[in-house]
This record gives sequence, C-alpha cells and structure tokens, in this order.
Amino acid sequence: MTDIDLDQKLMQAAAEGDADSFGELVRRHQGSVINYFYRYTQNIETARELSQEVFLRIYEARKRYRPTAKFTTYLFRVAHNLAINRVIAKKRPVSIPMETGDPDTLDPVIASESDNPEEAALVSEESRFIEDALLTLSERERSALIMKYTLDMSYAEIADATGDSESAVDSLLMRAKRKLRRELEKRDVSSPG
Amino acid sequence: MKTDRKKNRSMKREQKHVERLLSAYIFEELDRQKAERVERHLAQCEDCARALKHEEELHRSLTGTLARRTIDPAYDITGSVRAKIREREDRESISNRISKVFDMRFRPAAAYALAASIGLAAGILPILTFLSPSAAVAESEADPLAVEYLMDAPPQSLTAFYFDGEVSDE
Repeated sequence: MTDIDLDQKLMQAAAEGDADSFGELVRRHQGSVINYFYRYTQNIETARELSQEVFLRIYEARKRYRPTAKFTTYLFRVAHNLAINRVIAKKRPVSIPMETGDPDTLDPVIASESDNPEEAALVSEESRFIEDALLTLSERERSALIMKYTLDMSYAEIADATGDSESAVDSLLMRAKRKLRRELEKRDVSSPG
Repeated sequence: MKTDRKKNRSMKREQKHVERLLSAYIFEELDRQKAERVERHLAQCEDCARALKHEEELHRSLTGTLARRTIDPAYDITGSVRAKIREREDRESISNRISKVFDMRFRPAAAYALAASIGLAAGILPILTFLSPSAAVAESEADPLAVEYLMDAPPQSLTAFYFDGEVSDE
C-alpha cells in the first residue's frame, strides 16, 4: 500500500469514528506541519499551536472528507489558509546566540548537522539572516517558498494546496527569491570585510 | 548591419524569456522541451550563465537553511491533539445531555429556572428591587446573594423564593 493510500484509509477510518486512525495520521504528518509553521513563524510554540489547530480542524471536518485529492494536499490547504489568515506575531524565538557555545539551546527543532564548529557558525549566521529575511516576504510568498524548500512539494502540489495556478506559484517563488537576494546583498554590502 | 540588429533583438528577447525560466529550471519543473531551450541558450549567453550561477548559489543557501529537519520529540503534538479532541467531544456530550434535559416536556419550567439562575448571576434582581415600589432590600455582607425581593411580601431569603424546602440562613 502506498503512503497516499494509507493516508486515505486512515482518514476514512477516522471519519467512521476510529480515533486511533486519526492519531496515526497526526503521528505521520506532524513533522511536516510543525516544520512548515516553524519556518513560517520562527517560533516553536506558535508552530505547535497552529499545527494542533490544523489537525483539530481536519478532525472536526472528518465526516465531510472525500478522497478526491491526496490527504497531504488537504492537510496543507488547511495549514496554508490558517497561516495566511492568522495574524502571526513577527517575533524572533528566544534563543541563546552561537557565541555562548551552548548548542542544545540554539534551536529547538533543528539538529546540528555540521561537525566543523567554524563552518557551523558561518552557516548558522547566514541561516539566521535568511530566516529574518523570510519575514519581509508576503504571506503567500513565504508559504510557497517554505512548501518548496522545506516540504519539497512540486509546483503542482503547491498549486493544489494554495489554490493558485502553477505559473502563479512560479511567479511567487521568483519574487520571493528576488527579495531574499536583495536582502542578502544588503547584508554583504553593510558587513565589514 | 540590419541582420546584426535583428539578431541582437532576438537574443535579448530570448534572454528575457530564459531569465524567467531559470527558477523553474533549477527546481527541475520545466518540461524537457523548455529545459533544452534553456540549456541551448545558456551555452551561448554569458549573462544568463552568470545569472544561473547566482540562482544556484541562492538555491543552495535556501536549501541548507530551509530544508526539513527532525522535530525534537519534546515538541510532539500527538498526545495534545488527542487530549483536545477528547475535551471537545466531552463538551459536546455535556451539551447534548443538557439539550435532552430541556426537551419539549420540560422546556417551560426549565426555561424559567434557567432564566432565574442567569438573572441571579447577572445581578438583575438588585435592579428589579430598585425599580419595585414596595420591595425591601436586605444586603448581607456574609451572603452577597441575600437580596430579598418581593412586592408586599415579608423578607425571605432568595433561595427560598426560587426553591421549595427549608433554607437555613447562615
């Protein structure tokens, strides 16, 4: 059975009252949803709350679920609408800067993947800059960019989730990257050496 | 000369067209035909080759920064989603039970009792007491609900007015 078939089977069982099946769906997809909201809001607690809200909404609408599209399309349609419509506080998460050398408190979600501390520091600085620059994008640009880079969704999948056409998705991504490039260039111009 | 100008214009148009396709090209979202058109142009156009290089650098940075990560188990939401579902179902169940109590047979009396309770809670009675010409109002510091209201009736505790049975004043 493919993942797509399994998701639909679980969702149909949930629609018939099987709460354990719904729990399994949450377990299977919470990582993606939390990643999406964490990148979108840059706050892990807000990401958790919004992720819970997505699953609760899907649960409440479970009897109306029809497997006309992939479950993940439905899932991220709800997530995208919640992200776009919700007023998200544009706050940076509380974190201890790299300089203190306490990697456990740096980022609640991201596991460190570099063994070289200097390289990790450079990557981390640029990453922080990109994360800040994400907040300068419009909600739709940000959502599309995260769906592409974090969730590795295709243009077609992003279009289904957002209700846009594929060419609109392409335009959103181009605009988003152009803005991020400008922010990165500003940083390069203003940073010494 | 004319041919050169035409060639340049055509090249510029193609350049603009390919620039718009670079993002999708890097994402491998172009069909084979468009991808080959981009590659043919890149082979002859240094500007576009440079633009592609910049796109690829940005693409690498974004991939590194935004790629999906493993969520720390401390942030798992499975348990909390289950708990909230149970909570909502319990609330719906209580609400359904209350609705059953207030079915057609009991509605008038139940509605009166409910309205009285709400009135008490909202403090409507003090206002009614104020408006009534012959009401006696007794305020007790020990019992803030001990507001007696009745026209031409001896003071009674509020509880006795609404419920049958003995009430002891504490």
